[in-house]
Amino acid sequence: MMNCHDATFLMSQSRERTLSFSERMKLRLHIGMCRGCANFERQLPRLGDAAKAYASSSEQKDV
Amino acid sequence: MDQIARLGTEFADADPAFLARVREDMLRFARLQLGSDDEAEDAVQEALAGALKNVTNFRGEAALKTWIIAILKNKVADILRQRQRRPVVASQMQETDQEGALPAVFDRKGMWRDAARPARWEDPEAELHSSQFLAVFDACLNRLPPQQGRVFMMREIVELETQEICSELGLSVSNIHVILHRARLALRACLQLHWFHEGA
Repeated sequence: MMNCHDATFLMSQSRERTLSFSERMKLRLHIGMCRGCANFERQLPRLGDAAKAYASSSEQKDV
Repeated sequence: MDQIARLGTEFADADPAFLARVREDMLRFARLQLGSDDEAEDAVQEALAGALKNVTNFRGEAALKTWIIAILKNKVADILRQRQRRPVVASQMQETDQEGALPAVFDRKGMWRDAARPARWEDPEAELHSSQFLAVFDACLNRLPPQQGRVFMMREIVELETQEICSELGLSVSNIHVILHRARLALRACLQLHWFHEGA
Protein backbone atom coordinates (compact mmCIF):
# COMPACT_ATOMS: atom_id res chain seq x y z
CA MET A 1 0.00 0.00 0.00
CA MET A 2 1.30 3.38 -1.05
CA ASN A 3 1.89 6.00 1.67
CA CYS A 4 0.84 9.67 1.59
CA HIS A 5 4.32 10.89 0.68
CA ASP A 6 4.40 8.72 -2.44
CA ALA A 7 0.79 9.47 -3.31
CA THR A 8 1.34 13.25 -3.18
CA PHE A 9 4.57 12.81 -5.18
CA LEU A 10 2.62 11.08 -7.98
CA MET A 11 -0.15 13.69 -7.84
CA SER A 12 2.44 16.45 -8.12
CA GLN A 13 4.13 14.73 -11.07
CA SER A 14 0.80 14.33 -12.84
CA ARG A 15 0.98 18.09 -13.53
CA GLU A 16 4.22 17.55 -15.47
CA ARG A 17 3.84 14.11 -17.04
CA THR A 18 1.26 11.43 -17.81
CA LEU A 19 1.18 8.77 -15.11
CA SER A 20 1.39 5.12 -16.11
CA PHE A 21 -1.63 2.85 -15.78
CA SER A 22 -0.28 1.11 -12.70
CA GLU A 23 0.65 4.42 -11.06
CA ARG A 24 -2.88 5.65 -11.59
CA MET A 25 -4.39 2.48 -10.15
CA LYS A 26 -2.24 2.62 -7.01
CA LEU A 27 -2.99 6.29 -6.60
CA ARG A 28 -6.78 5.86 -6.95
CA LEU A 29 -6.69 3.03 -4.42
CA HIS A 30 -4.87 5.25 -1.92
CA ILE A 31 -7.01 8.34 -2.53
CA GLY A 32 -10.18 6.27 -2.12
CA MET A 33 -9.14 5.52 1.43
CA CYS A 34 -7.35 8.73 2.45
CA ARG A 35 -9.29 11.93 3.08
CA GLY A 36 -6.11 14.03 3.39
CA CYS A 37 -4.81 12.96 -0.01
CA ALA A 38 -8.24 13.42 -1.61
CA ASN A 39 -8.20 17.02 -0.35
CA PHE A 40 -4.64 17.42 -1.60
CA GLU A 41 -5.69 16.30 -5.07
CA ARG A 42 -8.45 18.93 -5.21
CA GLN A 43 -6.15 21.66 -3.94
CA LEU A 44 -3.21 20.97 -6.24
CA PRO A 45 -4.63 22.77 -9.32
CA ARG A 46 -5.68 25.67 -7.07
CA LEU A 47 -2.00 26.30 -6.31
CA GLY A 48 -1.35 26.83 -10.00
CA ASP A 49 -4.41 29.06 -10.34
CA ALA A 50 -3.28 31.07 -7.33
CA ALA A 51 0.22 31.49 -8.81
CA LYS A 52 -1.28 32.87 -12.02
CA ALA A 53 -3.63 35.17 -10.13
CA TYR A 54 -0.64 36.33 -8.11
CA ALA A 55 1.45 37.14 -11.21
CA SER A 56 -1.31 39.14 -12.84
CA SER A 57 -2.58 40.98 -9.81
CA SER A 58 -2.25 44.71 -9.36
CA GLU A 59 -2.62 44.54 -5.61
CA GLN A 60 -0.38 41.74 -4.54
CA LYS A 61 1.56 43.89 -2.14
CA ASP A 62 0.76 46.88 0.01
CA VAL A 63 4.24 48.36 0.24
CA MET B 1 13.99 55.95 -12.82
CA ASP B 2 13.42 58.13 -15.93
CA GLN B 3 11.56 55.16 -17.34
CA ILE B 4 9.05 55.65 -14.55
CA ALA B 5 8.78 59.36 -15.25
CA ARG B 6 8.21 58.63 -18.92
CA LEU B 7 5.58 56.03 -18.10
CA GLY B 8 3.96 58.58 -15.81
CA THR B 9 3.54 61.06 -18.64
CA GLU B 10 2.40 58.42 -21.11
CA PHE B 11 -0.18 56.97 -18.75
CA ALA B 12 -1.54 60.34 -17.82
CA ASP B 13 -3.93 58.96 -15.25
CA ALA B 14 -1.63 56.28 -13.82
CA ASP B 15 -0.29 56.90 -10.35
CA PRO B 16 3.57 57.15 -10.34
CA ALA B 17 3.69 55.23 -7.06
CA PHE B 18 1.71 52.45 -8.71
CA LEU B 19 4.15 52.35 -11.63
CA ALA B 20 7.16 52.28 -9.32
CA ARG B 21 5.56 49.40 -7.43
CA VAL B 22 4.85 47.48 -10.64
CA ARG B 23 8.46 47.96 -11.70
CA GLU B 24 9.69 46.64 -8.34
CA ASP B 25 7.46 43.57 -8.67
CA MET B 26 8.70 42.98 -12.19
CA LEU B 27 12.33 43.26 -11.16
CA ARG B 28 11.85 40.87 -8.27
CA PHE B 29 10.16 38.37 -10.56
CA ALA B 30 12.77 38.70 -13.33
CA ARG B 31 15.72 38.48 -10.90
CA LEU B 32 14.36 35.33 -9.33
CA GLN B 33 13.79 33.73 -12.71
CA LEU B 34 16.99 34.82 -14.41
CA GLY B 35 19.42 34.89 -11.48
CA SER B 36 21.11 37.93 -12.98
CA ASP B 37 20.49 41.59 -12.13
CA ASP B 38 21.63 42.88 -15.53
CA GLU B 39 19.47 40.55 -17.54
CA ALA B 40 16.55 41.23 -15.21
CA GLU B 41 16.92 45.00 -15.72
CA ASP B 42 17.05 44.53 -19.49
CA ALA B 43 14.00 42.27 -19.55
CA VAL B 44 12.00 44.74 -17.44
CA GLN B 45 13.04 47.73 -19.59
CA GLU B 46 12.03 45.88 -22.74
CA ALA B 47 8.70 44.81 -21.26
CA LEU B 48 7.95 48.40 -20.20
CA ALA B 49 8.94 49.73 -23.61
CA GLY B 50 6.67 47.14 -25.23
CA ALA B 51 3.81 48.23 -22.99
CA LEU B 52 4.37 51.90 -23.91
CA LYS B 53 3.78 51.14 -27.56
CA ASN B 54 0.30 49.89 -26.80
CA VAL B 55 -0.55 52.46 -24.23
CA THR B 56 -3.86 53.57 -25.67
CA ASN B 57 -5.49 50.20 -25.14
CA PHE B 58 -5.54 50.34 -21.38
CA ARG B 59 -8.14 51.42 -18.93
CA GLY B 60 -7.23 51.01 -15.34
CA GLU B 61 -4.17 49.93 -13.45
CA ALA B 62 -5.08 46.28 -13.08
CA ALA B 63 -5.38 45.76 -16.83
CA LEU B 64 -2.14 47.65 -17.39
CA LYS B 65 -0.22 45.56 -14.90
CA THR B 66 -1.61 42.33 -16.28
CA TRP B 67 -0.43 43.38 -19.71
CA ILE B 68 3.06 44.42 -18.59
CA ILE B 69 3.55 41.22 -16.62
CA ALA B 70 2.40 39.14 -19.61
CA ILE B 71 5.03 40.83 -21.78
CA LEU B 72 7.65 40.29 -19.09
CA LYS B 73 6.79 36.58 -18.82
CA ASN B 74 7.33 36.19 -22.55
CA LYS B 75 10.65 38.05 -22.37
CA VAL B 76 11.84 35.89 -19.50
CA ALA B 77 10.79 32.72 -21.31
CA ASP B 78 12.66 33.89 -24.45
CA ILE B 79 15.81 34.62 -22.49
CA LEU B 80 15.66 31.26 -20.74
CA ARG B 81 15.16 29.44 -24.03
CA GLN B 82 18.08 31.29 -25.65
CA ARG B 83 20.31 30.34 -22.76
CA GLN B 84 19.69 26.66 -23.42
CA ARG B 85 21.60 26.99 -26.66
CA ARG B 86 24.64 28.20 -24.74
CA PRO B 87 26.88 25.92 -22.69
CA VAL B 88 25.89 25.64 -19.02
CA VAL B 89 27.99 28.01 -16.95
CA ALA B 90 30.02 26.65 -14.07
CA SER B 91 28.14 28.58 -11.40
CA GLN B 92 24.92 26.80 -12.34
CA MET B 93 26.53 23.40 -12.00
CA GLN B 94 28.11 24.04 -8.65
CA GLU B 95 24.92 24.43 -6.71
CA THR B 96 24.71 21.12 -4.94
CA ASP B 97 21.92 21.61 -2.42
CA GLN B 98 19.47 21.72 -5.25
CA GLU B 99 16.23 20.44 -3.89
CA GLY B 100 15.70 22.15 -0.56
CA ALA B 101 14.18 20.31 2.39
CA LEU B 102 11.04 18.17 2.36
CA PRO B 103 8.54 20.07 4.54
CA ALA B 104 7.83 18.26 7.80
CA VAL B 105 4.29 17.20 6.92
CA PHE B 106 4.74 13.40 7.00
CA ASP B 107 5.57 11.02 9.84
CA ARG B 108 8.26 8.34 9.59
CA LYS B 109 5.93 6.02 7.72
CA GLY B 110 5.24 8.71 5.14
CA MET B 111 1.67 9.33 6.34
CA TRP B 112 0.26 12.82 7.04
CA ARG B 113 0.96 14.17 10.51
CA ASP B 114 -2.34 15.14 12.12
CA ALA B 115 -1.60 18.87 12.12
CA ALA B 116 -0.49 18.83 8.47
CA ARG B 117 -3.24 16.70 6.95
CA PRO B 118 -4.98 18.63 4.15
CA ALA B 119 -8.38 19.86 5.30
CA ARG B 120 -11.23 20.85 3.06
CA TRP B 121 -10.92 24.36 1.61
CA GLU B 122 -14.17 26.26 1.50
CA ASP B 123 -14.89 27.93 -1.82
CA PRO B 124 -11.27 28.52 -2.85
CA GLU B 125 -12.00 30.07 -6.27
CA ALA B 126 -13.89 33.04 -4.92
CA GLU B 127 -10.92 34.35 -3.00
CA LEU B 128 -8.04 33.88 -5.42
CA HIS B 129 -8.06 37.47 -6.57
CA SER B 130 -8.61 39.21 -3.25
CA SER B 131 -5.67 41.34 -2.16
CA GLN B 132 -5.58 39.69 1.27
CA PHE B 133 -5.26 36.24 -0.27
CA LEU B 134 -2.54 37.38 -2.64
CA ALA B 135 -0.59 38.95 0.22
CA VAL B 136 -0.69 35.60 2.05
CA PHE B 137 0.31 33.79 -1.14
CA ASP B 138 3.21 36.21 -1.61
CA ALA B 139 4.42 35.57 1.95
CA CYS B 140 4.13 31.79 1.51
CA LEU B 141 5.99 31.86 -1.81
CA ASN B 142 8.79 33.92 -0.31
CA ARG B 143 9.10 31.47 2.55
CA LEU B 144 9.99 28.58 0.22
CA PRO B 145 13.66 27.60 -0.13
CA PRO B 146 14.90 29.78 -3.06
CA GLN B 147 15.33 26.97 -5.57
CA GLN B 148 11.85 25.61 -4.81
CA GLY B 149 10.28 29.04 -5.28
CA ARG B 150 12.16 29.57 -8.50
CA VAL B 151 11.23 26.23 -10.06
CA PHE B 152 7.61 26.54 -8.92
CA MET B 153 7.32 29.96 -10.59
CA MET B 154 9.07 28.77 -13.75
CA ARG B 155 6.57 25.94 -14.00
CA GLU B 156 3.31 27.52 -12.84
CA ILE B 157 3.72 31.18 -13.82
CA VAL B 158 6.14 31.23 -16.77
CA GLU B 159 4.71 27.82 -17.79
CA LEU B 160 7.99 26.34 -18.98
CA GLU B 161 8.08 22.61 -19.73
CA THR B 162 10.06 20.32 -17.42
CA GLN B 163 12.78 19.88 -20.06
CA GLU B 164 13.22 23.62 -20.39
CA ILE B 165 13.61 24.02 -16.63
CA CYS B 166 16.13 21.15 -16.60
CA SER B 167 18.33 22.73 -19.24
CA GLU B 168 18.09 26.14 -17.64
CA LEU B 169 19.13 24.99 -14.18
CA GLY B 170 21.31 22.01 -15.09
CA LEU B 171 19.02 19.66 -13.13
CA SER B 172 17.63 16.23 -13.97
CA VAL B 173 13.95 15.53 -14.57
CA SER B 174 13.74 13.70 -11.25
CA ASN B 175 15.30 16.71 -9.45
CA ILE B 176 12.55 18.87 -10.91
CA HIS B 177 9.84 16.44 -9.84
CA VAL B 178 11.22 16.33 -6.29
CA ILE B 179 11.56 20.13 -6.11
CA LEU B 180 8.02 20.74 -7.38
CA HIS B 181 6.57 18.15 -4.98
CA ARG B 182 8.28 19.81 -2.01
CA ALA B 183 7.34 23.31 -3.15
CA ARG B 184 3.68 22.34 -3.54
CA LEU B 185 3.56 20.58 -0.17
CA ALA B 186 5.12 23.57 1.57
CA LEU B 187 2.98 26.14 -0.23
CA ARG B 188 -0.22 24.19 0.41
CA ALA B 189 0.63 23.77 4.09
CA CYS B 190 1.41 27.49 4.43
CA LEU B 191 -1.85 28.52 2.73
CA GLN B 192 -3.86 26.17 4.91
CA LEU B 193 -2.25 27.54 8.04
CA HIS B 194 -2.54 31.22 7.17
CA TRP B 195 -5.60 31.37 4.99
CA PHE B 196 -7.85 28.32 4.87
CA HIS B 197 -7.67 27.69 8.59
CA GLU B 198 -11.30 26.85 9.16
CA GLY B 199 -12.32 23.21 9.42
CA ALA B 200 -8.79 21.92 10.08
